[in-house]
Amino acid sequence: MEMEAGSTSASGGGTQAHSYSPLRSKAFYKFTQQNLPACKPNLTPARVIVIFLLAGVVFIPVGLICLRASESVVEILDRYDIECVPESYRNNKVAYIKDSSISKNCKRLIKIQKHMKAPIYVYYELDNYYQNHRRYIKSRSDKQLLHGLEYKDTSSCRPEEYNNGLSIVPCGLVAWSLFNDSYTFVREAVELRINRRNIAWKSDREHKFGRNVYPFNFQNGSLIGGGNLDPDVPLSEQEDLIVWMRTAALPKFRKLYGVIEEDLQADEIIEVHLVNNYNTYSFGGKKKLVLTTKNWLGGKNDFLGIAYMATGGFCIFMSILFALIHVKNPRPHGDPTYSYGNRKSTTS
Amino acid sequence: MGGRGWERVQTVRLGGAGAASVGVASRRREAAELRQVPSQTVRLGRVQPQAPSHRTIYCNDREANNIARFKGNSISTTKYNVLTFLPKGLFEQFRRVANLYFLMISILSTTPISPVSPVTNVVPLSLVLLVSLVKEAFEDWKRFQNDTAINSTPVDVLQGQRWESISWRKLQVGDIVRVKQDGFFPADLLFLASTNADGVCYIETANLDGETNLKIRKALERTWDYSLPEKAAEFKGEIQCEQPNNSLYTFTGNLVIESQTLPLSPNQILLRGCSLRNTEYVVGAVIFTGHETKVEYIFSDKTGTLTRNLMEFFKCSIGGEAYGTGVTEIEKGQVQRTGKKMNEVNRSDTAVHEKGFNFDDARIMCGAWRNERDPEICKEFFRCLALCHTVLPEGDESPEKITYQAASPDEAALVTAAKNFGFFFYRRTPTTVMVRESHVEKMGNIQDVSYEILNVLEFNSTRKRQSVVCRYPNGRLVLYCKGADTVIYERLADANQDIKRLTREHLEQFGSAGLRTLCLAYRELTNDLYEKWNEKFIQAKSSLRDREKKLDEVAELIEKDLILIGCTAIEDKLQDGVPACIETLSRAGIKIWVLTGDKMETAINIAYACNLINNDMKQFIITSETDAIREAEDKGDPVEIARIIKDSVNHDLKQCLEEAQQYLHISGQKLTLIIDGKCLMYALDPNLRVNLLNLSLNCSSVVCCRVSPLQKAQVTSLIKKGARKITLSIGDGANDVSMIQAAHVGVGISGLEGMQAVMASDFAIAQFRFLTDLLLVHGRWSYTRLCKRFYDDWFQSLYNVIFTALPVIIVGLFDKDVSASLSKKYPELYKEGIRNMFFKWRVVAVWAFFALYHSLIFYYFTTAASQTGHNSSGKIFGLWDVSTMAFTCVVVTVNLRLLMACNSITRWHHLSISGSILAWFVFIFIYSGVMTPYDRQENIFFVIYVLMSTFFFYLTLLLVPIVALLGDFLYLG
Repeated sequence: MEMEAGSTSASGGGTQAHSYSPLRSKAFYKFTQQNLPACKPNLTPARVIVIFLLAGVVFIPVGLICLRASESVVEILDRYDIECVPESYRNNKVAYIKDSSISKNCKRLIKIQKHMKAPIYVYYELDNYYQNHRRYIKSRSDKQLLHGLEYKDTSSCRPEEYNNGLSIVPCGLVAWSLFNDSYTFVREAVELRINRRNIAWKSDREHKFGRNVYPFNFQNGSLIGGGNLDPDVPLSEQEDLIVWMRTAALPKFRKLYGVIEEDLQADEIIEVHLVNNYNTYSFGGKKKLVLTTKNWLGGKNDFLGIAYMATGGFCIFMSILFALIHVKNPRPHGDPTYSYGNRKSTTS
Repeated sequence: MGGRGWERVQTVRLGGAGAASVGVASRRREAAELRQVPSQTVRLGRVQPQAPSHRTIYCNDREANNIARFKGNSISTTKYNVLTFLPKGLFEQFRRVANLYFLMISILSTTPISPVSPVTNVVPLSLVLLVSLVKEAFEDWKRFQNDTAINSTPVDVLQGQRWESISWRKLQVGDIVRVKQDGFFPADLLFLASTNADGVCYIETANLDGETNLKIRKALERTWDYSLPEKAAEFKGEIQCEQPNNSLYTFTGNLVIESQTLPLSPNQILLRGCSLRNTEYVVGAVIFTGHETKVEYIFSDKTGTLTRNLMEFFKCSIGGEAYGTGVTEIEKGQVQRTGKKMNEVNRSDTAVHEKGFNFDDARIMCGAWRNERDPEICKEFFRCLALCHTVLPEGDESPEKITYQAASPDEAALVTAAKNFGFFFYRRTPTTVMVRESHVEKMGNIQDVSYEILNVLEFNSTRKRQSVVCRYPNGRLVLYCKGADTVIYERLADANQDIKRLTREHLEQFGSAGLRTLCLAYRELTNDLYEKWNEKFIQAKSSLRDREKKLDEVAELIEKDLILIGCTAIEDKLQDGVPACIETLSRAGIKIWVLTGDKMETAINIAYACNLINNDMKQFIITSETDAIREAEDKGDPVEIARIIKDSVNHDLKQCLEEAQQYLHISGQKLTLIIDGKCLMYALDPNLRVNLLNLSLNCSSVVCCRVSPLQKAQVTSLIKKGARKITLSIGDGANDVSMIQAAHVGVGISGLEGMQAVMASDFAIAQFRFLTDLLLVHGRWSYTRLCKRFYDDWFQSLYNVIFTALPVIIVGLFDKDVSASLSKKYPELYKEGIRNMFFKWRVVAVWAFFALYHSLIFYYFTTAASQTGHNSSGKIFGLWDVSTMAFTCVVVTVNLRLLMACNSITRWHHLSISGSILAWFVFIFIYSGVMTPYDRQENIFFVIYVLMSTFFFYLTLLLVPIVALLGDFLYLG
C-alpha cells in the first residue's frame, strides 16, 4: 500500500484557498480538492499470490472441521407418503386421504445403520410445499398470536379470518394448514420416549405466542386444512404450531417433531407407528421422516465443509497458477504506464 | 458592407483576444473628434427591418404614459413562486430518471400484488425529494432576496422641479432620472444630458458584455441643457422607438421635441446594468423597464478564455534596430520543444514591468537612446507613441499614479511605453496633447511640451491604421501614423530601403514569437499642403452622405510618402500556462478548435501563440476577404454577394479537402483550417456541411474567426451530431453561452467577465489552464467513478438505500486510480476516456455478470446450507432467518466489493464502509429487538439473536462474501 500523500492537482487555485485559513479549512480544502491522504491498494502479483495463499490456508482447515462435524452426524431418512397409502388407493391418493372413514394408521420399520447417540432429533420433511409463497406467509396475525381475541384487526389473515361470524384463533392460512401426522416409535415392543417439548425456538415461545391465548373456533369450517389444536392449551405451549408457524425458506424443508432421548444401537429395528393425516397428495408433496443426531454445527450438512474446502483449494490453485505465470513472465512493477496498461483491460 | 438597413459590422471580441483598436463601426458617429468610436458588436447577417409596431413614450408625463400600460421596472429572476413551487419543483425532480424509477417502484408497491409494503419505498424517496426541494427553495429564496435588493435600490427621479429618491421598482417608462457617478442605470435610458462638456458620458458595460474598457455615449445636442432639475422639468419630449428586443447593439427611434424630429441611435442609449464612470451625473428618460430591458437577453462576446486581454509592450524596432530582451511564452515553448535549456535572462536594473509595459533594454531606457546610432528617429518613435492615439489620461498627473483610459488595452500599452521611455502623456484638451519629455535636449532635462492636434484620422477595420496631424510648438507640422504592416508599407516613401528591410525582418520575428505588431511612420507636412488638404477634410467631415467613405478617401490623400520609424510588438498576455495546457491536451488526443469573434489576423496570432498552429503545419485558409468577393460587395447586390461567396466557399472547400487528403497520405503533415464567419455561414449550409466536416476532422486544429455566438453553437453541434464526437466547450463570455450549452460538456471560466457563461455551464474553472486539471485529472477520476457507481447504484437501489449508499458517495468523492501528477504526466491516459474505455457496454456487462454471480452465491449458499438444523438443539431456520442471513452477507459483500473497486482508500472509505456494515447491524438489532404496537408482520422479531447464537451464522458470513468476492478479485488480479 503506497501512501499517496496529498497529490498536487489544482495547486493554482489551492494556494489562495487556504492562505487565509488555519487548520480546519485546511482539512476542508484537502477534502474539496481531493487531496486527502490515501493508500492505494495496488494489486501486485506478489500480493495477489499471497492473498490467495492465505485464503487457502485458512479455508481448507475450516472446511475440514466442518466436514468432519457433518460426517459425524448419523441421519436416517424414510419417505412414507406413498407406501402408507393402501395398494387399492394408490391410483387415487387424494380420495384416500379425504375419506375420514378409512384408518390412516401406518407402520414403518426403520433399521438403524450406525450407533446413534442421544439426543436423536425427529423431523418431518416436506417437499414441494411452498411455505414461502408470499400470500401464504402473510396470512397470519402475529398480534393475535400474542394477544388473542383482544386483538381485532386480523384482516391479514384472510381468507381464514372468520368462521360463522366468529374470529378464528389462530387465524390465517399458515395455522389452518398445520401439519398433523403423528409418530410413535417402538423398539422391541417398548415405546420409545419422545420429548415433544422445547422443540420451538425459545424466543418464539416466550415473545410471539401468548401465554393466555387459547385456540378458538379453530378448524370449524367446512374445509379442514390440517391439524386441530387443543382449545385448553395456550398457544405458547402448542409447540407443534409454533414450529409450523416459523415458515420455511424453501419448498423443501424440515421441521422438528421431537427428540428421542435414548441411544439407538446399530442394527436395531425401530417400528414407527404413524398416522398419515396430512394431505400432501393433492399437490404432489412428499413426506419424509428424519432421524438424526447432532453436532456443534447442527445437523448433517456437508455443504459448508465442501464449500470451504473448494474455495480454499481454488485459492491455493490460483496462487500457484499466478506464481507460475509470474515466474515465467515477470513484469517490473512501478512503471506507471505499464501498470496502467495492464489494468485498463481488467479494471473497470 | 453596403450600409443598407441595419447591416453593420462590429467587432466581436471573444474567445480571447480582441482589442478595440480592431473594432470598428461601419457607420461613423459624430463622436468627438478626439475620441475613438466605441467598439460595437457585429452581427453577421442582416437585421430585419423593424416591424411597424413601435412605442411612443411621453417624457416626464406619467399620465400620458399610463394609457400605454408599460410594464413596471421590478424584475424577478426566481424560478418559482409560492404556488408553483410544489408542482414545478416536483416536476423538476421527477425529470431525473432515478427519482422517476423510485416513484414507479413506490406506486407499484402500493398495489396488492406487491410483496413489500409501500413505506419502505416511499420513505427514502420522500427523503431525497425533501432534501432536493429544500435546497431548491433555499436557492430561490436567495434569488428572491437578491431581486428585492435590486428592486429597492434608490434612484433619483424628477418630481416637479426636484430630484426625489425612489426605488428602482417604482420607476416608470417616461420618467426622467438622474444617475450619479459609479451608479448603475436602473432601466434602459435615453441619454439626455450630462455634467460633462459636449454632452458626453462614459459607461462601463462589464455587466453586459464583460468589456471593462469605458465606452462613450453622447447625448443629442438638442438635449444637452436638461441637466438641472429646473430645466429638465421643462423637457416634454416624445420618444418613438422600437418595441423591446434583445439586440444589445441596435436601437432605432426618434425623439420629437417641439415638432422637431431627431433620430436616435444606440449612442444615446444607456442600458440597464451598465454603470456610469468619469461623469458626475447624467440625466436620462426611461424607455424600457424591468424585463423589457435589453440586461435580460444577454449575448455578446469577449476575451479572457485564452488570453488575459492584458496587452504589454514587449519589444520594438526603431530605425532598423530591434530592442527588447524579453522572451515570450511561445518562444519558451518552442525552445522547450526542441529540448534546449532555457537561459534565464538576467533582468537588468532598467527593466520595468507595469501594467501594459514589460520591456527591458538598457540601450533605450532612461534616456540611453540618446547614445544610439540615430537618436532623432528614436525621438520620432517615442513622440509617435505619445501623440498618435485616442487615449484619455485619468487621475493624478504623475507617471506613477496616472491611468490611461483607452478603448483597447494595446493603445494604453503603447502610451504607457512612451511614458516609460520618457515621453509622458499627461493631459489632453480638445485641441492639444501635453507631453512631459525627459532627456530630449540633454540628459536629465525635463520639459512640458504642448502639441496641437489638428486632425485625427481614426482607426477602422478597412483603414487598419490611425493618424494624427500635429503641430509642434515651433510650428513644425507632422503626421504620425501607426497601423498594420501591410497598410503602412504600401504608403511608404521610396527611401531607406535598409530600414524597411530590417524592420520587416523584425516584424516577422516578433510575429512568430506570438506578438502583435504595429508599424509606426511619420510624414513632415508643409503648411500649404496641409491647408489644402484640411479644406477637403473639413468638407468631407461635414458632408451628409457617405461621410465615412469620403473621410477615408481624404485620409488616403495625406497618408502617403510616409517615412518608416519602426515597429512595436505587444504581447497579448496569454493566460498562465495556456500553450503548455494546449499542448498537453493535444497530446491527449483532444482536438482543439478556436471559435472567436476576432478578426482573422488576430485569431491566427493567438493560435500561433497558443501552439495551435505552427510553421510546420499546412494551413488552409478560407476567407471572404478575396478580391472577387470584395468586388461583389462593392456592387452591393446581396443576392449576387451570397452567390459568389457560396461558390467560392464551395470551391475552396473541395480544393482544400483534396489537398488535405494528399497531404495526409503523402507527408503526414499536420493540417490546420482557418475559416472566417462569413464563409462559415455558407459552409454550414446543408449542402456544404459534409465537406466542411470532412475537412475539419482531418485537421488537427481549426480556427474560426469572426463568428457569431449562434455560429459557435452551430459549429459545436455540427461536430457533436455530424461527427458523433464528444464535445467540450469552454468560454467565459455571455456570448459563449449558446456554444457551452450546445456541447456535451460546458465549461465556464469565471473571471473578470460576467458569470453568465459560468451559470450556463456544467463546470466552472477560474482559468483556462485549469482545464488540464479538469479534464485529465478530475475528468478521468470521475470517469472511472461513474462506471463504478453504475453497478452499485442499481444494485443497492434494489436492496437498500441506506446501508451501502454512503460508501458509494465516498468513492464518488475520493476515488482516484492514478495520482494527479501521474495523470498530468501521461496525458495519453486520457485517451482511454475518449475511447469510452471505461464506460463501454462490455464493462457494464462485466458488472452485471458479477451481480448475477453474487446473487447466485448469496441465494444458493445460504439456502443450501440451511436445510438442516443449525444449533445444538436441532432447531430449524425459518424463511426470515435465512433471508436475514443472506442480507447480512449482501451488505458485507457490497461494502467490501466497493472497497475493492476503489483505487485509493482514504480514511473516509474505511469510516463509511465499516460504518455502513455497523449501521446494518445496529439497525437489525433494533429492528428485530422491538415489537411495534401496530399490526405488522413480526417476521424479523428476534431473528438476529437466534442467528447469532449459532456457529453456522458466522461460518456462513465468513464464507459467502469471500466466495462472492473471489470472482471479482480474480478478475481484478
